[in-house]
Amino acid sequence: VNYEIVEIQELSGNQATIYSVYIDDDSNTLFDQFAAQYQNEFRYETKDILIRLKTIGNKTGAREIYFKHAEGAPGDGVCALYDRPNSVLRMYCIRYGNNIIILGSGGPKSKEIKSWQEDETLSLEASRMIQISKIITNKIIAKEIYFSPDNMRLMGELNFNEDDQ
Amino acid sequence: MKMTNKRNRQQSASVINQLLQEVSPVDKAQIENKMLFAARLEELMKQNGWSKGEFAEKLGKNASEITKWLSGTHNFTMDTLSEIAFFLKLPLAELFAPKKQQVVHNVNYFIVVPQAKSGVAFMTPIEEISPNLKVTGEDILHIAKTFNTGQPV
Repeated sequence: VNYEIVEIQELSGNQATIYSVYIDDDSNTLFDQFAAQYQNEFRYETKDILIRLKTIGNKTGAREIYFKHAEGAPGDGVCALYDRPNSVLRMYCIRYGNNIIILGSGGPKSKEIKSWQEDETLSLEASRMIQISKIITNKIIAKEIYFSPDNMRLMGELNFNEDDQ
Repeated sequence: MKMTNKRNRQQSASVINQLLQEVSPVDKAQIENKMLFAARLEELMKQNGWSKGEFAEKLGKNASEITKWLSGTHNFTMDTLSEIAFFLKLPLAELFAPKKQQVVHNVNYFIVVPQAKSGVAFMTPIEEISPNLKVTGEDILHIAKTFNTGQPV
């Protein structure tokens, strides 16, 4: 599997850089797919998520308080943006401090389930981010991916194969 | 196989841009203000040295309620805001005040001593530089007052 991390410039700003991921030869990043897929059925919620991400990028930074943590393995940074009250649309991401997030995809989370493991779509999307985080962590350890001096950007090898590790 | 060229996000960027443009300025302000208020509340809790659990205990709430408040999605009622202001011992309006910038004053001044000893270091007490030169607490107070009033030292 090939991954390419790219900046979502429409959302990034001077408080946080917001990225998403292309997988193999997909023509859209995971987050672009998410927005396109849910824009009709959950239009208001999709727009709410976009404005919140833009606010994170430009005004507040990716403060820990805005994210639901422990969605992945301990310490892997995989989290979900908190849902609005009465909202069902969940979006997974990887957070690296207050200045960098990598957006994934997600889907509607029924109030009848407690965890993503109980839903096929959410399982796929959360597991994907857990896997991406694992590869990035290994690349950070190998110094193939690193942070810019101001911790605002990911640098280095942002286009990589799963079997590189 | 690695992709060698950055893909063109123009089409997908246009979906995001279109959705962003559809949001009315009022809706945008509502969403932003919820997030900014959550950030402000977090700062006020930190200033008081309170964890979520400690703050919750003071207010007689569950920690999960505070987590919800800090998520940046909560629509606060006037009653809740008044309650928060009461326990933070702040006027209500202060809850919405932007974070005060910390100003660090740095004053440099020179003391000319005709017969100074050699080897004077940065933190050498003035009395060691010249036994005849004394700086009293009043002098320091005067410097501080003069500085704070914006008059030349």
